[in-house]
Amino acid sequence: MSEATHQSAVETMTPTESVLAQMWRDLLGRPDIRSGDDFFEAGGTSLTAIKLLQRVEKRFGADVLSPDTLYEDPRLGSLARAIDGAGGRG
Amino acid sequence: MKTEAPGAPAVACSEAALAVHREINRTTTPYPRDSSVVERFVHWVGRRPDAVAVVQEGRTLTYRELNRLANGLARELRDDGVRLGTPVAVCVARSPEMLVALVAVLKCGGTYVPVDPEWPDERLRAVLLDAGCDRVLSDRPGALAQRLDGAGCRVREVAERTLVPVDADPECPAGPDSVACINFTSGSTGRAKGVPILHRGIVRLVHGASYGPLDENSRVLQVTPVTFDIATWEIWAALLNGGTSVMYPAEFVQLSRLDRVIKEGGVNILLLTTALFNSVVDEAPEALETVATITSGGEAHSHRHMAKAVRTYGRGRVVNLYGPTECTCIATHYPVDEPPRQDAPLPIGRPIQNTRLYLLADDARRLCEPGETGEICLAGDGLAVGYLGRPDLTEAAFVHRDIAGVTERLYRTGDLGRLLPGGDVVFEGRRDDQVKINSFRIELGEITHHLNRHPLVQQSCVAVRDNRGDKSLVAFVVPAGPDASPDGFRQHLAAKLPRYMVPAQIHLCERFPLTPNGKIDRRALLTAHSSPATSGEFTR
Repeated sequence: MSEATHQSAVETMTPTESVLAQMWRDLLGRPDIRSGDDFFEAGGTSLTAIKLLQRVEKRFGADVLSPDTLYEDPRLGSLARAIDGAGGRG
Repeated sequence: MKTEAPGAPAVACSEAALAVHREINRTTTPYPRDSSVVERFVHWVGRRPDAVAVVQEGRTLTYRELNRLANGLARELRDDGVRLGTPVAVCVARSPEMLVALVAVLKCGGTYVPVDPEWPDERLRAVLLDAGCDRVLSDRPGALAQRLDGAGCRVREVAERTLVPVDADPECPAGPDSVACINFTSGSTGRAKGVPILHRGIVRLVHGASYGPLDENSRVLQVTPVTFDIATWEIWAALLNGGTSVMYPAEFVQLSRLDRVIKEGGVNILLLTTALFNSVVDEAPEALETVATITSGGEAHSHRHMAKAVRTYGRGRVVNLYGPTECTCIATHYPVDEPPRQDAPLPIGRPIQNTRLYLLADDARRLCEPGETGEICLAGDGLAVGYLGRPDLTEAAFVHRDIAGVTERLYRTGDLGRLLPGGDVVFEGRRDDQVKINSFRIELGEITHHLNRHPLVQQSCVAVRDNRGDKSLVAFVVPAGPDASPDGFRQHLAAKLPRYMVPAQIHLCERFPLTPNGKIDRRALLTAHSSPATSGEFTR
């Protein structure tokens, strides 16, 4: 991904994406999270995935993000769309 | 097992060293030493036929039902040629049917070999080949048969609708010295090592347990993937004690669901990998509040999580466990009754029942004094036979020693430890570059072995990044040409290694920094690449 795409991704983050990005920064210990990033390629493991799912549930409500969804398409933007689509509380 | 091995090298020992080792090694406890796993299971079928053996999301099998289904499958397997010592791979998702498959294989005298469908084809085929399996039991036979095409392996379906109950127990040819299962663990030569586990090793693990109560009232959580040796404990701790296996229903763990499974299933004892234990303590500590005995192990514990656990759950409930696969899952236990002090190490404790531990120095020729650091060597009925098809590795790791006139067969763990004055052992790291990531045991050499075989790799090394307790693998490569890319290397590794062994980050470097004594300076590499995605054009 080029710098230009990175920039625009930051600019167009949805509210859900921003909250998720903060969770990723905290869990993965890196400042540069963008909406096209893949959770596992960014350093996430099966264990950080468990923590992420728990934090998402606490923040957005139960059953808005399943482990299967996370493993199928672990990009930040996709996860945010799944949460919004499942009616996660903002 | 105390064995006759005339001429075993003698271990030098002082009176003080011998006294403290004798003290901690008084672990001999009566147990059904001469019974196989099958005999112990069938014993409970006779005694508690209507007790629930396994429950998963409201679905249950009683001991009688589980036994009848296993008899049916065992009859088919026997007709198909499974005999004493025949290895049969099991690739069935966590379910009552998985237990049926394991019991059925053992009833034929066979050896079950747990395999994971998530492994890449190359790994899967290598494990089947090394274990000598030409049969796989699977709940998704179609997909697997396609992947194993040409590997000389037949896939047989095991599903609720394919199982036929049979009343009569087949005569089981297996004894306590037969191989019950083979667990595979990382090997630095680039190939996973098979560790054959004896029936006696498993029976010893779950009888007369010093680390927690196990009896017919035990309701044991089963959440660990069956390819982990911890699952050996989870499954047989329930089924060989007349207790109930409470199975987590899905492949991936969700803590809110784990909470429900534990409470609805009335789980009263469990063994979590250190990594999962830490996650639960951090994110959902309430999930364990009803569990009487909370044990964890798999890698060095974290002080912070242990302290929080003891404060949350109270005294007499939290137990720190230690043990390699080669000693059938658990070797030592330490009840954590006080929050550990930051400045003092938390011990791995003392050997469990029918297990002995020696700290040895000078190539395992001298018994360490109290307080002296040495290699943790294990003895007793838990020891594996050796490594499958690797006499060289077996000879190096499994040795005979004469200790004060008694010949012991020892497993040299490669772990370092020392004895505290009270007799508890403290873990002090590794002799080599074996690491634990999320409780997966990984030889870093196995990863570099595969990296170095890529034509565009000139030199490589792998290190562990620790982000406040969350550990991940980072690889560094000096490329051999301009076309090298982290993505290319990642794909190369993903085709050969399980996902947990593929480094999350791969950095390209011009050269490696060296320490004063000429080794690759991993710490300097990690520091130089601490902010991964912004560290320059070489990094993706």
